[in-house]
Amino acid sequence: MVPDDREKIEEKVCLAVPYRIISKHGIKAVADVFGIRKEIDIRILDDVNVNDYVLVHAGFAIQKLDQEAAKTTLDLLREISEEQI
Amino acid sequence: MDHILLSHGSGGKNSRKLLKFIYDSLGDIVINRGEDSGIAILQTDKLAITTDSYVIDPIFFPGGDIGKLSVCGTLNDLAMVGAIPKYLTLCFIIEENFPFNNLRKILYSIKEEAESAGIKIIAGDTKIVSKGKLDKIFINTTGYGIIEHSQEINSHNAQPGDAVIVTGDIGDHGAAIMAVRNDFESDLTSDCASVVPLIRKLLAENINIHTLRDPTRGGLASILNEIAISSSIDIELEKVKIPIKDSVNGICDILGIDPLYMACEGRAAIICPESEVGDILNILKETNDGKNACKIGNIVDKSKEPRVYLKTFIGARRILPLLSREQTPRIC
Amino acid sequence: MKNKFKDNSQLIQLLQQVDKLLTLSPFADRQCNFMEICGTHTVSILKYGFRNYFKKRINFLSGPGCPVCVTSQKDIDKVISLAQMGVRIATFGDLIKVPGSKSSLEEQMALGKEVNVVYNPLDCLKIADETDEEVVFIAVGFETTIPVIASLILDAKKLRIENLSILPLMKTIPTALNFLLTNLENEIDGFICPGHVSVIIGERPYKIIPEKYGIPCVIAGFEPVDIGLAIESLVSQIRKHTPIVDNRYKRVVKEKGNISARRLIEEVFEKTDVEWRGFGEVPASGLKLREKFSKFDAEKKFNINVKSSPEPEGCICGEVIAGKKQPVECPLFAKKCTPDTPIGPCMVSYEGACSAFYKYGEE
Repeated sequence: MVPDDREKIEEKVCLAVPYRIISKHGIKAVADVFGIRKEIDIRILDDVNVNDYVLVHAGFAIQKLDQEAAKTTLDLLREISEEQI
Repeated sequence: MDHILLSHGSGGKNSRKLLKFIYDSLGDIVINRGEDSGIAILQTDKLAITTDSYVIDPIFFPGGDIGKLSVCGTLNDLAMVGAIPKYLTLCFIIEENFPFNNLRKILYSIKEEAESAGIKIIAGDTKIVSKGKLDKIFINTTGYGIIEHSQEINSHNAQPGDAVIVTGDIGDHGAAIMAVRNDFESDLTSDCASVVPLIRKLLAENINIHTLRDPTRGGLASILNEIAISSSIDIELEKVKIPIKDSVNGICDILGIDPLYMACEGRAAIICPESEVGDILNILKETNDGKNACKIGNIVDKSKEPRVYLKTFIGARRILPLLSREQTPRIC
Repeated sequence: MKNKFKDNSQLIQLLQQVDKLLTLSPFADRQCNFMEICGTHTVSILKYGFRNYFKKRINFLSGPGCPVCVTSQKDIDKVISLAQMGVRIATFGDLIKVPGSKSSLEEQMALGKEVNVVYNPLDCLKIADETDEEVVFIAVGFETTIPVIASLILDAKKLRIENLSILPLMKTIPTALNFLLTNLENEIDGFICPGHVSVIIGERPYKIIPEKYGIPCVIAGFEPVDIGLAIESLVSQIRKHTPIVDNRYKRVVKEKGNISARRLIEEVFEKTDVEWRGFGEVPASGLKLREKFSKFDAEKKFNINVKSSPEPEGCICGEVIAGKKQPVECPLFAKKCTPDTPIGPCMVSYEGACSAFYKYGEE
């Protein structure tokens, strides 16, 4: 098979899986998602630290994942699903 | 001399050197050396023959290389009709300037796989082409196996009520290759392996099998669609039961690919009467390659418009179509 | 991190609740029209089977949420024209197969034109650095991508890269929604607002929708749990007659969005009128480079001469984007137009409604 770069990446624009920051240096950081490590740009996030989970779009971290809020969403799911109509 | 030259394919002195190099690397798995034809001795009424050409980028990948793939791929095709592999032919087409070191690594992988499967290399060929005429190395193998069982194992034989089993996690090979190609540093490895031992075990226990298929190019979704069409049946799978590693799901998410269409190189889909499921899973789960085996769905009905359906995460049903355009590059 | 968003037992219960609600007043005798704005929502809704699950009760409409799909035919022709001029094109992968009126980037590549697929727009800096040729990045995208493109411009300026420019085709979502509600006829009962555009713009820009038009909105993520919760929110809002902007993606969407990202956008770009496929020209719904960055504008740098051209005959991508029709209503769908032989952009892009319908086929 001769490599064909054209078909290589069928990018999803809105990947929802958060990456974990492993190390940071200036406006760049290395992040991990399921064992896959990538360099990402963190310039549009204030105050990112190692071990934070971030949402990545086109190579940029665009927001930190608020784990407390994630838990609230799951609580909401539990509440509504157990509600009696 | 570190690299293959065009003269290695000329028929002269250098050709003999290359041949010697190959023989030395492969050792005594090669029989009938130097003859124009190999002679096979088989005691059987039923012979299975399959051939395949292997072109892959990269030629070395986590979990294997093109050599291992070219043996396992062909052995697996023999296993899919329940044959016991006996002989293999081996043909190389090599790009000029290919490093001897890489060829040696590939030959060693071939030797290792052939030895563990107990097969011999009965004939072979080598061609060298000038730079740029192909990408590094292409390998063609033809496999010969004998059929000792009396079952009808083929893609036309799937019956309503049958169960669909996979022997392990889905999409590992495709995911590992995609990771390398996209320069992702990752722990993903190909599942490249021979499934012959698993299938032999099942046949030795007199398990009744209707259909076997290895989900290589096009992945599980594609081969099940092919079976559905061949047997004129509908298949229904349950998404939550299909074993897929988190890391494989992860890279698929990143690349926008569905793992159900990703190639496996060491798995088989087994279609069998529901009554055999327990025994099959017990036998498979005792082995290392089959420890993640599970039932993922059923053949639901005869159908004039055969389809594969997927019961999704939320319990809804949707069609799992045959895609005309491959989601992934051709990777095997 | 163990992903609890992948657990399905409670979700199935939730959906059963919602399904029950939909049999009661005010839903009993009609289908709800919910529009999702983000292409990835379209994909999730089909892939996880929500569409089939609620088939009789909810009609999901794909809105203008795929940046490739909303790009006008004329703008696609501009891209092709740039390739034909011999400049090196850098682009997101999705654009390559989109047919212009006469050719596509894929065809130009086959003819030997240079086209580089990039994942991160900043990769263009390296491409431009390694060649003397002119490099043009095809800047499609919504608010999520625009800060990244702004960073590219700022870096190019700082590094004094002269042979790099962008073809500005960026668009902004709230303006388009407002236009959709004011100018196009439709009966939308609720909006599933785009998750990652909202990460940048926050909750506020949608407030006009419940306040002025009385239509419920929910900001949602992309996991099955997120989609389930979003549907539940819209259904509850309708039932209680309390339309709001409900944020159910709080784990990444803050009320005020990402202010640093918006500052970057402000610094580099200003509003302009742009043409959307399916909408025509929408005032102040796009972005152009501010004057001090104008040397990075490929439109100004190159003499692109493209006439306005009609959309492909028979193609209803425009109506699909405007929420007026479903992909399956297109006479070309899955016949003349397939992912192999796409006629309109919605069949090409991963996010495109037609491609998603084709891939996650309905019963």
